[in-house]
Formats: sequence, structure tokens, C-alpha cells
Amino acid sequence: MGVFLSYALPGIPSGCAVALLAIGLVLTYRTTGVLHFAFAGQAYIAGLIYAVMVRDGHGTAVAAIMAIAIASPIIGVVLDFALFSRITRATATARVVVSLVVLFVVEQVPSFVISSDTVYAPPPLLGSSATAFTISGTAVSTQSVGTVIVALVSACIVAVVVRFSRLGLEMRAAVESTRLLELSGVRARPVTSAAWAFSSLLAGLAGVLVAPTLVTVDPTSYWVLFIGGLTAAVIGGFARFGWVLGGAIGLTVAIAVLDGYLPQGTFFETVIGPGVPFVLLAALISFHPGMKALLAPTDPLAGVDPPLMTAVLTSRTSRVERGIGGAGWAAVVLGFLGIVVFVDPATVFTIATGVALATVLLSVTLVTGLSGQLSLCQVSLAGLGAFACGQLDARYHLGFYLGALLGGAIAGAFATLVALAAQRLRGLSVMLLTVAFALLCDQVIFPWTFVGGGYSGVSMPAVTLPGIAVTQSSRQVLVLGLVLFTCCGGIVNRLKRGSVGLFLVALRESEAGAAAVGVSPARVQVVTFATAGVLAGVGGAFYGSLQGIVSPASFNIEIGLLWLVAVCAIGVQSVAGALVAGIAVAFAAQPVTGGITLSDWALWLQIGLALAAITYAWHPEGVVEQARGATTTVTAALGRSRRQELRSTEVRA
Amino acid sequence: MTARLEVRAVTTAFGGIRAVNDVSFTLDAGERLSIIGPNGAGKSTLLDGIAGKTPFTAGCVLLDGAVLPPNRPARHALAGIGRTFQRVEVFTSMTVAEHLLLTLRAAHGSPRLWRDLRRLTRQTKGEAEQINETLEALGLERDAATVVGTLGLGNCRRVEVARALIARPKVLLLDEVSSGLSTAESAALVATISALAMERQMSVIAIEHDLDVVRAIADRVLVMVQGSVIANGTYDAVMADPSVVEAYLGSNA
Ligand SMILES: Nc1ncnc2c1ncn2[C@@H]1O[C@H](COP(=O)(O)OP(=O)(O)OP(=O)(O)O)[C@@H](O)[C@H]1O
Ligand SMILES: [Mg+2]
Repeated sequence: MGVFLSYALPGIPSGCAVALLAIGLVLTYRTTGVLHFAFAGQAYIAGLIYAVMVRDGHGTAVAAIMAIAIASPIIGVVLDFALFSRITRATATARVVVSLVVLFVVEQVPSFVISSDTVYAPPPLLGSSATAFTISGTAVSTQSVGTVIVALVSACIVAVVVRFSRLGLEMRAAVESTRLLELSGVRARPVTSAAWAFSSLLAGLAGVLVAPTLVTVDPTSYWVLFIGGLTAAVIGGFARFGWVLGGAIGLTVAIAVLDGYLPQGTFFETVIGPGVPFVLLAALISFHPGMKALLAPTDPLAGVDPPLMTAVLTSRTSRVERGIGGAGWAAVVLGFLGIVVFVDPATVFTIATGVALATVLLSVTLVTGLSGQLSLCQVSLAGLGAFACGQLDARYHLGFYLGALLGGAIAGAFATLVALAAQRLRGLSVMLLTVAFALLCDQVIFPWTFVGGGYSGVSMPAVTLPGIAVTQSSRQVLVLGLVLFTCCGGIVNRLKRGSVGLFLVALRESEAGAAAVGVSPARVQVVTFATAGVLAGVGGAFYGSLQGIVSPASFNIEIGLLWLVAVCAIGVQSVAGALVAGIAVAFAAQPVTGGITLSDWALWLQIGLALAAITYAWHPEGVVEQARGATTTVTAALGRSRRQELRSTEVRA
Repeated sequence: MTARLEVRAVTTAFGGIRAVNDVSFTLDAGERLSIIGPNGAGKSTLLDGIAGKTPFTAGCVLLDGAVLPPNRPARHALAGIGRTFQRVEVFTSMTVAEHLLLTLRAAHGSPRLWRDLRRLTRQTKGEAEQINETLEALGLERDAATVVGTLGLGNCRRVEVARALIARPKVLLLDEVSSGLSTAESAALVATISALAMERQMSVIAIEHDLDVVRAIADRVLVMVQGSVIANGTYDAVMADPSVVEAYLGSNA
């Protein structure tokens, strides 16, 4: 008993912090329809403000008030005002993309506002490490008691506000339909703002409470906290606060206990134990009855809105457009030829890296662009491809080509598994499942030496060409990359134009209609995920080969976030978009070691991508397609194209 | 002889509401049934259940004597149940012809990944013929290349019918197909459907509010009120039934 308690009791306070985050997550989802990943970032910011202020000599109370009661709600309200209130009619996917962009940005901000040194854990807000009381030989500090009390009191306040207050009722009504709410005489804006302020405050509170228990205040620690919160939210089916609270505490304690009991230094302790939470999360998402229906709440008045026509207007290709597309590609090829001949090796290398990334991003084109499904695990699939290629070469000397092929096959197999696990699910739930898989790779599979090679990483087989001696920055490698990209792009285009594309469009536009003619969403999902997995794996192997050595850090979820943000910004629906995005990422991810400065143009590129990605909510087709749309408007003026007829009918409708 | 379609003691409850309450009936090959009833009677819910879109709380549906798996609309479609929707479910960015092509392709069950990669999925002559034939039957041939998002409601309904018909379903389910069409248009549509039902031995279940359409399309009429069937017989017999008259006057008054 004593041993058990010594493992279990320390889990309770952190479980409480996780619970606060989870409640904030559920509250935001319930009241605004946004599955807000950026809470991870907001909690981090709050923890950081608190830690830095205390470090710089302010009192803990002042710092806490600043971080929790002032900064956090302000961030929430600003986010609502500047972003989320403007995209209430966007799809659930688009809203999550925006939230991911916010997460991405929020995690970058501190590096230029405060200096980039490590921020160590601050002293606790309440209590200290002094012992409050002892249970069966396990000392419980006053700090732990304080955390638990704060968390429970906040949870009760939330429950009371949501259940019994007028504001709670209005918040719940707002998520059903802001317009119905307004029709009943309540102004909806202040209500959603209040919901944002309130849930952001909870995120801030969680961030501050958990900060003292960390080693350093850094985004990754908060990601882990957030994942706990996400799991708890799933346990409660994104609805029941009691379950969320109990789930958060129970889960954290269970993990702490498991961690304590597993034999030290064994495979169980290093791989199986850490994997439990993610497998649990995946299983919960797959089998929890509440998750099947986790879709953005639909407005009963949505029927009166005109349908979103942008997709129609930009995705149809007439002969003229094909001509323009051809000319565009010719320009791209000529441009690359120019690069190959004239540009210095370092830039050639970056571009080749970009082309490799573009191959990975083609998998996003397939999954997100064509089937409208957000996936955060494409980066992990690329990693699986790369590690498989490297390990196979290390063990069996298969070389690059065979290794990349097998890497693609392995990544495809894992992607199929994910899709099979997601069979019953749609939309956001599938995305959550991809998050669970990405984290499983991130935290467990890749750190496992058998896969990720441990500290030294995995050295990748170099690209070889018969009869020519090449290095990673050779022009020939770039040409090879382009050939690979063209092949993979061809696959995507053929699927897009063939029956798979037809099925995907049908499913995206009316799942009920598609099912009525016999299109099974689950089967199509498996086919697209598997194909995308192969593309990601092959692309990842090529990318890895260019890097020379790959480590788990090359393919973590934060990197995946940058990739996703870039491709959503530039164009997730076309092969050209993937190419431009891949090259942009290669330049944006130039090493920024040694402190970020404002003159660092890679940083500006990242900021630009993030800003452009926010437009995803209004223009899911991305910048590249928008540019194409502009060229077709010009040609439409020359000859009457169908596009113009469309426009006029739209105006009449 | 087994019936083409048998609906056996079907109930659908949403929480406390029994939208469909213990409904049973059978339908022979080529038979045309119309379901009428006041708003909220559970007609659409029953149809969605037969099409596999909403799960039943109890009961089952048999097609040619075999039980259909509940809640698997795609399987139902492939088994031979075609349908239209009360709120149209079309693919706004596809052309009319693409809707039909999709149905033909979907008849194979899975996406044809390998054929796509070898570019073998371009429209074949056979497919084009089938598409043209169906479009002509429904008077949509001029709109073959029109994007459906730009069509009016009446045409969208016809697209839905065409999309269902091209798969040569054994049973066709129509949910208020005449709403949004002019009298002349709906008469033409009803004539087409009736003729095809004869020719292909296709059974039809049509939910209708327009009694003229009901009389024209149906061999038999089923009246639902508050989830239950209160009458089932020929048009004249049903209309003479006092409980039906009461239900209708009650709801219209
Ligand atoms: N998804 C659902 N959840 C809860 N209740 C539902 C749902 N779908 C239908 N209902 C309820 O079931 C009842 C029957 O609805 P249904 O749409 O089947 O009626 P209907 O006969 O088709 O009416 P109408 O003539 O207006 O189309 C109604 O009371 C409706 O509110
Ligand atoms: Mg109805």
C-alpha cells in the first residue's frame, strides 16, 4: 500500500492541472465549436509569463494574477475577435487548421519577446514543498494540496456556471446556433467572447499550476500536458465535465503508478509503458460511442445560407485552364533547369530537400486536399519510411532505392492500420486518431533505438546514380528528386482524375448522397490513407537520405505542424501547391540555431506562411489555386468560359 | 414466394420519441407504394431506416428474403436499394453526368486504385451510353455537363432520381420527389418512373404530400400518423377510411 501510494499520490496534483486544461478544451468545443489545439500554447504562455515574472523578482501572487487573470483571458478574447468569430461558417477542419496555426505562432512568440535562454521551473503559486501531512509514509506537500484545491474549486465553478447560470445557457445556445440565439434577443458576440475568455483562463490556470512541477518551462512539456487533457476530454466524450475531471486525474495517476511498477531499464519501461497513454487515447477515440459523432455542431439555420461556392469555381478545369496549367509547369521545369545550371550547391541542396519534402506533402494533398480529412501523422509516416530505409540499409545493405521502396511499403502499412482503426470515425475524430498515432511515434516508437537509432540517430544510405559520383548537393540529385516528385505527383493526379477522385469529391460534398449510391466512406478512407502513407514513406526516405542522418527530432509533431501549415497556406489541393510548399518549408526550416533575430529571413518566411495559413478558413484551396483563379479570370474575359456562367448563376441564386 | 422487400416490425426511437413505431409491410417486385401522412409522422425516418441511413431500435428489413445489415447505407445501395432525399443530397461541384458516372463506378464497391493508376478509368463507351439513356429518360440531356450546384431544386431532384435509376435498383425510395417541380414536370417524372418500374420490375416506395401524384404513382397507399401505420390499401380504400380522414383533417385544420 505504501509503495502504491508513493507512486499514486504525486500524480494527483498534475492530474488536476490536466483536468483544468481538459475542461477548458471541452468548454471551448462546446461553446464555440472549435477543437482548440492552441490551448497547449496558451497554457505554455501563461506558465512562461508566471515563471519569467517570478524570476525577475515579482511576487508569485502578482505574477499569477498577471498570467492567469489578465494575459490569458485577453489572449482568448483577442483570438476570438481576430480569428474565430470570423470563421464560424468555415468547416470544422478549417477551424482546426486555424487553431493549429495559432499553436504554431504562439510557440514561436516567446523566442523573440523574451530572451531565448532556458526558463527554469518557478516556485509554486500556493504552498511549498513543505509537508502538509503524511499518508502511509508518503509525504504530501502543501503545494500539492493547494493545486488540488484550486483545481477542484475551478471545476466546480465551471460546472455551476455552465449548468445553472444564464451565461452558461447562452453559451450552450450559441454553439447550437448563434443566429437562433440572436433571434431570441441575446447578443451572441459577448457570449462567445465570454466563453473564450473563460476557457482561456482555465488554460492559463493549468499552465501556471503545472509550471512548478516541470524541469524547464518549454512547449514540449505543455504538449504532453495537453495530450493528457485531450485524452480526458475524449473520456468525457467532449461533453461531461465530471467524467473529464475524473478521467484526467485517474489517467494521470494510473500512468504514474504504471511507470513506478514497471521494471526499470527494461523494454517494458522504455517502450511499452510510455506507449500506454497513446494507445489508450487511440482506443478511446476508436471505440468511445461519443466520438463517432464528434463533428462540428451544425447550425439549424445553416440551410438558409448560400452554399460555399469557392470550391466549385476553382476546382473545375476547362481546356483553357489546362493550357495555362501546362504553361505553368513548363515554366517550373525551365526554372528548375536554370537552377540546376546556375545556382550554387548549397541552394541546390536546399531545393532538393524541398522537393523531397514536397513528395511527403503530396500525401497531405491526397488526404487533406482531396478527401478533406486533416491528418497530423503524415510527418510520422515520413519518419517511418526514413527510419525503415536507414535501418534496412544498416542491417542488410539494401541501398537507397530498395530501402526507400520498402520504407514506403512499411509507412503504407502503418497508414492502413490507422485508417482501419478510424473506420467507424469521421472528421475531427479521425484527426484526433492521427494525433494519437503521431504522438505514439514521437514519444515511443521513434525514441526506441531499434527504430530511431538512439542518440546517434540513423545514418541513411546515400542516393547513388549508376556511373556518376554524386554527393547530397549534386545537381543530379535534384534532378532525381524531381523525377521522383513527378512520378508521385502523377499518381496523385491520376487518382484525382480517376474514380478515386470522384468518390472523394462525392464524400466531401455529401456523405449521405455518396453512401446512397454505394460509396463506402470507410473503404475510400483506407485506400487514400494507404496510398498517402506510401507517398509519405518514400518521400521521407529521400528526405532522410539528403539529411545523411535522421533522428526522432527530424520527424516530430512540431515539424509536422510546420509542414501542414505551409501546405495549407500554399495549396493543399494541387500537386503544384505541394511543390511550392515543400520548397518553402525547406527554406523556412533553415537552421535558426544561435538565437532568432529579426533579420533572419527564414523566420519571416515562417511568419508569412503562418499568416497565409490563416486564410485557409476562407480559401481552403490555398494561394496557388487563388493565383490560378486569377489567371482564369483573365482568360474568361477573352472567351466565354463556363466559369463565367457559373459566376452569373451564383449571383442570381 | 418471398416478397421483394419486407419491413418487419420496425421501430426507430430518438431518445423518448418513437418516430417510427412497429411498422410492418411487404412489397412485391414491380409494386409501387406511396406513404402519406402529416408532417413529423415518421415517413422520412422510415425511409432512412430502409435505406440503412438511420439504425432501427428494433426490427429489420429483408430484401428478397435476406436481412439487410442495419445502418450500412452503402451496402444497402449495392444490394439494390436506390433512393432520393427530402433535402437534396447532391455533389455541388460535379456535373450531372459525373453523378451518374459515380454511381456506375461505385457499383463495384471499392475504389479502383489500380485501374486509376493505369488510367483505365476514363469513361467507356458502355458507360456513356448508359448515362445518355438515363439522362434522356429524365429530360436532363441538355444539362449533362452542367455543374449541379448551379441547378434549381427541381433539377436537383431529377438528378437524384437519375443517379438512383442508373444503378438499376430493385427498390427505389423517393422522398417527396415532386416538391420543387411544376405539376407538368412532376407528371412527366411520375410517368417515367412508373414506366421503368413496369419495364424493370422495380419496386417503388414514394413519400408524397401531393395527392394527385400519389394517385398517379401508387398501386397501394400506406398512411402513417405519429410513427404508426393507420391504413394500408388502395388509394380509394384508404381515402375512404374514417381514421385517415380524421388524421388529415386534424392535422390540416
Ligand atoms: N435525427 C433525429 N433526432 C431526433 N428526432 C428526429 C430525428 N429525425 C427525425 N426526428 C423526429 O422524428 C419525427 C419524424 O420525423 P420525419 O422526418 O420522419 O417526419 P416526416 O414524416 O418525414 O415529416 P415531413 O413530412 O415533414 O417530412 C419528428 O418528430 C422528428 O422531429
Ligand atoms: Mg420527411
